[in-house]
Amino acid sequence: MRPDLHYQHITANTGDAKALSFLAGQLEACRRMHWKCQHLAPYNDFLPTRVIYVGSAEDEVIRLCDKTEASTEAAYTVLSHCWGKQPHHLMLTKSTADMLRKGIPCSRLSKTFQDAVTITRKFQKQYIWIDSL
Amino acid sequence: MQSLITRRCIFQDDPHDWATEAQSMREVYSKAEFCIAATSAESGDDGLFYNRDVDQLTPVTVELTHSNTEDLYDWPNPGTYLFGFHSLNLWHFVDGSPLNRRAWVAQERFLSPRILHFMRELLVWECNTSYTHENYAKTSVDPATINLYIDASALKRVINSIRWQGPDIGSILHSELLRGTMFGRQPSDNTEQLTQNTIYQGWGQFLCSYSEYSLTKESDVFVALNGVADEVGHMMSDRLVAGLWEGRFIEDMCWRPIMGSGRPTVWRAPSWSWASIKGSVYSAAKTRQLSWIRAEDRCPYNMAAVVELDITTKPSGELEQASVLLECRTIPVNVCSAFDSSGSNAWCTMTKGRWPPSMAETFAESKPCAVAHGGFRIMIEDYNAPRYHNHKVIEAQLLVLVRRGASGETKSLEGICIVESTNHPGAFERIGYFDLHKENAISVRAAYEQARVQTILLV
Repeated sequence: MRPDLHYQHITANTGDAKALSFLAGQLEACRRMHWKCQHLAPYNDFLPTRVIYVGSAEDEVIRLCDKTEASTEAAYTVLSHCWGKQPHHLMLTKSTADMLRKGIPCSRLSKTFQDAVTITRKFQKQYIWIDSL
Repeated sequence: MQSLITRRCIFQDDPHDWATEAQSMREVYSKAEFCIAATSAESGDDGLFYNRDVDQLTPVTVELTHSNTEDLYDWPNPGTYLFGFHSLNLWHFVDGSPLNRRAWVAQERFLSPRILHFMRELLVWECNTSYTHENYAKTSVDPATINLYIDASALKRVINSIRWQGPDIGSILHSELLRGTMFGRQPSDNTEQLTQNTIYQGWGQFLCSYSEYSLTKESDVFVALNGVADEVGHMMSDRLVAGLWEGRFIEDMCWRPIMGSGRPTVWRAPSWSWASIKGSVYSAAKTRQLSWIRAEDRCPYNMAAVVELDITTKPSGELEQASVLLECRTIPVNVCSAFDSSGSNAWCTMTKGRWPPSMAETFAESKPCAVAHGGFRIMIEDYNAPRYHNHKVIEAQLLVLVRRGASGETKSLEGICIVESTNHPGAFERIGYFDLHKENAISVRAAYEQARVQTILLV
């Protein structure tokens, strides 16, 4: 079959395992085979001053942690999102900082944040950086 | 609830932190393993995952035959083709998504080396080597082959290819050169100039998109741009001042509004900056890409010069005040505020004596009538300003900025229309833009040569 007539079948939800495996495949190809990407964005051990530890298990609480408490060589993801007109999700403030450091269930976050935590865990990264957390 | 640690709040409430915070923003996005982009989400409640109509999104195979043998220009050859929802213009869907129409997100996308776009219909992967989606997972598009100037990521591609200095920089510059030769470029540009001009054109494309993105806080227009401006400035060895490149200042003043627009509610930029209007602009760099501009005319000649730039910036990057002292020649004109249906055009004439107000109404209806009366078109930025009410004819000056045409001839003239400033006595402000060709350009050029050189302050 001509390669330009080839296409992949998709599943009913963009969060299905098969859909996500497309992204995982791309990431692996990028990390293993993209010379240009390696040159422009090599592996690094940088961690932002504050990150959210997401752990690996579904039921784990997430918690805010400082760079110093995080394990070195830990990769992190970032979230790019719209705040919406009236953001009512949990944010890092003076009053929530302590609670966030102790750890909160993921369900207290907005839907987008929860899904981003899910992706981070599925890709086996332990940290995520979100601008308001 | 007072939030202390969001980036926006740091910028607003603690400007002294700004420099370090901006630096760290760049690091945070560029060094992450990947960026999770909530591309289709309008707010935090939408999440990343969506149910979708699989049948509608499944590509179809199409047999194309031609019913006559006539040469059909630009038509694909007969044969078998695959058509899918996102197959033709992947970037069009990504660029037009709710997320990517936010100004703050532009630099997040620019800085992120790997992006997972969670779109409503399909998942999209974007890195510096591959730009593809689920349906076509195997036939990835090499970003370097996507038309360099068509989408919002063009600037990122150009910059990264140049930073990489890999084989594709050769092909990018080659295609630039080819575009040039198609329109008759003299092969005089050296690689350095070609590289700089290619980045500048990438910037021009970016600015056209950026200027129409939405900002919750209008005054953030430069703050949200800092990450990109620093990177591009570094690559071009230039500095962005009030939205214009210092090293290309005169040409860069030749931006124009795309649609009739208005001013932001609170002052955020001088009238000569594109940021002084609300809405999308067509950048000067973008003008260089117009197909009818011959390659040898792409770099224009300056007809005015900067004497001094006076800019005060807050630590956040917001402007406090900005003015420029120009050495230039101006030509007095009457501007007839007879806007046509597009909302942003006015007519002006060098002919002595005012146009009677009755004529203005006629002009609004008829372009030939305005032209017959020696009028030529200028594009007005803020057509709601009181000065235009009731088709008033106002006194203004044309300030010629650049000329195109080799060996002294005048193929076209671009510049701005200015009036005395009401808020700053003795200074002038920009009200519109003009782009003149043929006879109009030649007659204004003649007037320009007659005018005396003067120094004026533009605010």
